[in-house]
Amino acid sequence: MTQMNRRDLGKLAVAAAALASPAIRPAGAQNVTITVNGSGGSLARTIERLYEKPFTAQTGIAIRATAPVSVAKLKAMVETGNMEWDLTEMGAADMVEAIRNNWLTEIDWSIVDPETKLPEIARQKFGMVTSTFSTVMAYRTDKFRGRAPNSWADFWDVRTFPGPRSLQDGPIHNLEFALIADGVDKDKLYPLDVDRAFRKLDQIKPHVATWWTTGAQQVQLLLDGEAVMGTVWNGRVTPLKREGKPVELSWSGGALQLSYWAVPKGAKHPREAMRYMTTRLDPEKGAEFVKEAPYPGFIPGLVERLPPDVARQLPIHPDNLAAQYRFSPDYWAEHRAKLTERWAAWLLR
Amino acid sequence: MTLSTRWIAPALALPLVLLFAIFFVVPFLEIMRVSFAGAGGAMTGISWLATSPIFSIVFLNTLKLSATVTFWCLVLGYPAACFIAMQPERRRGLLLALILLPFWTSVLVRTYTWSLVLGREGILNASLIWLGITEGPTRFMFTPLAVHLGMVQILLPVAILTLVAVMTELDPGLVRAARVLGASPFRAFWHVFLPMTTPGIVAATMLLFILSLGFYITPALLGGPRHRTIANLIDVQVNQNNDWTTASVMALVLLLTTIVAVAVLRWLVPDRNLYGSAR
Repeated sequence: MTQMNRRDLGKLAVAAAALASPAIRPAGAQNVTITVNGSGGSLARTIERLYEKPFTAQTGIAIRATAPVSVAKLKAMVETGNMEWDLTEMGAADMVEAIRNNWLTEIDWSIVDPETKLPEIARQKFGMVTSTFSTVMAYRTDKFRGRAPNSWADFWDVRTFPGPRSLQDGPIHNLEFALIADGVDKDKLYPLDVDRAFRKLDQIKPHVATWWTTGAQQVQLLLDGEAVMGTVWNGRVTPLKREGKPVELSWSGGALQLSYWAVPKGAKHPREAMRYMTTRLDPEKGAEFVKEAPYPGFIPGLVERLPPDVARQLPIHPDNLAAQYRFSPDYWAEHRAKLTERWAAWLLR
Repeated sequence: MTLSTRWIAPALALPLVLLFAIFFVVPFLEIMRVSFAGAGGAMTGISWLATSPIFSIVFLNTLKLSATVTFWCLVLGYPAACFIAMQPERRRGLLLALILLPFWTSVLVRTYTWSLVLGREGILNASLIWLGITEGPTRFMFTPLAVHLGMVQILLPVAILTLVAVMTELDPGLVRAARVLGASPFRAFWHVFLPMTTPGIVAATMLLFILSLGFYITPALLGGPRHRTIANLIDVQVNQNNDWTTASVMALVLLLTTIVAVAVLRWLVPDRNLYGSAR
């Protein structure tokens, strides 16, 4: 009952705002600037053109974009009571940690998605899923005489696919990849058999040239030939393929991850931030965005608006979804600290 | 002392004192607070230092790395400094400019350049294969060798500049006198020139060692996660593990190490040799 009422009220509010906005802007909104923290990079320009400028033109709410995404910064701002952000991007495991530490404000879904367009998975108490991405295996197509590795077992098979590897520095995903390579069913990974995973990682360690820490590094290592196979975020490979670089990725055993938008505790303009969140429900714009960066959200009608070859490159394409495992942020929020320490010690050995 | 001069000295020092108070003392006290009063109480940080499987390894590696880099900078820098100090003044200026040029180039740029040289498909590997010395690419990147090379090259100007400054102040007549009185060139160097340059060697050692202890970018880019220094580990604790208590404790350990290093050096080399022995 209350749910219904709130929703209806929200509809009214949005309708009222929509009516009022072109002529008489709602009082107070005119001079508001919200700070939206994201990943920055080349995508920031696309976001500005597609979302920020039209939103400011329509509502009078200005947007200041900051970067990078950092849960350490969020923690510092909450603890010092000096919250600079009104909205921030968040990774899944960071999200669990932030919720546990009470660093976030509850989302008012009557503002963000009053008509319940988004599926349940995207509408969470403290965040909205804005995009999805995958950590997958990528390789140089010119290094294996036409053969294509297509599983984590192949990644571990240095005889058939010789050459240096690169992996992320950190236990998250790597333990899962190792277990899949060792024959564990990708749907029965959690709770992880940690000892078995580290034993499997021992085998590949001498062949790992280095352990990347940033997104730019992953592809640079492949392009420089520093590694012939390595893990990457799927979106990093798409533009390279477009440029004709000899790289390809495999979805098999990839890690599907969700990326969130959340309003930090102590944000100065939470309502305006939540109004801005509604811009991500537009499937037209979503489709245009995804053509530049293959990081789709769960907007209904998005995939249908895309050409099949673009849709095929997305983490949420049905075929790709079936090939990947479902990453568990809960498991990692609970075990991350301990496993990160074990990982660091293992790496130094 | 007149009234005006009594006030003018503190007034001149005031901007620097303020700068240090705001940007060093205050953050330092904050680090002390986080170390001892942060999450989990006073002992968590210290017990972490004692029990962590990574800290002791990374800490020793950092000390070893700093010592080796300092050593090689001195060995390579000393003859170069001698050579420059012996030149007539105009040519000395030109040579010093050549040393300063890389010194003024961003550390980041110089580090990246090393990755172009040392990479699997880099200049060094291409040359080795072309010359027939090796058959396939050798792994230079992400090894201790790469970190050492990068750091020595970046810090070498510091060694040379410090040594040249001391050497040009020396009275060349003293070495000449030793030679006239029958000392061999080696003897004149060993018993006259070298002792007079001790202050320069000590100053360079201190500077190089302290700078090396805090190196961050070069080990991160050329060494990777397997060759971390304490500075890299602090970054990991802050940005990846959200553990500021241990990060602050490590920052304090780094500071203490620096103080101890300076103290030991001062104790090994008496003051008399540091200041004015040459005169």
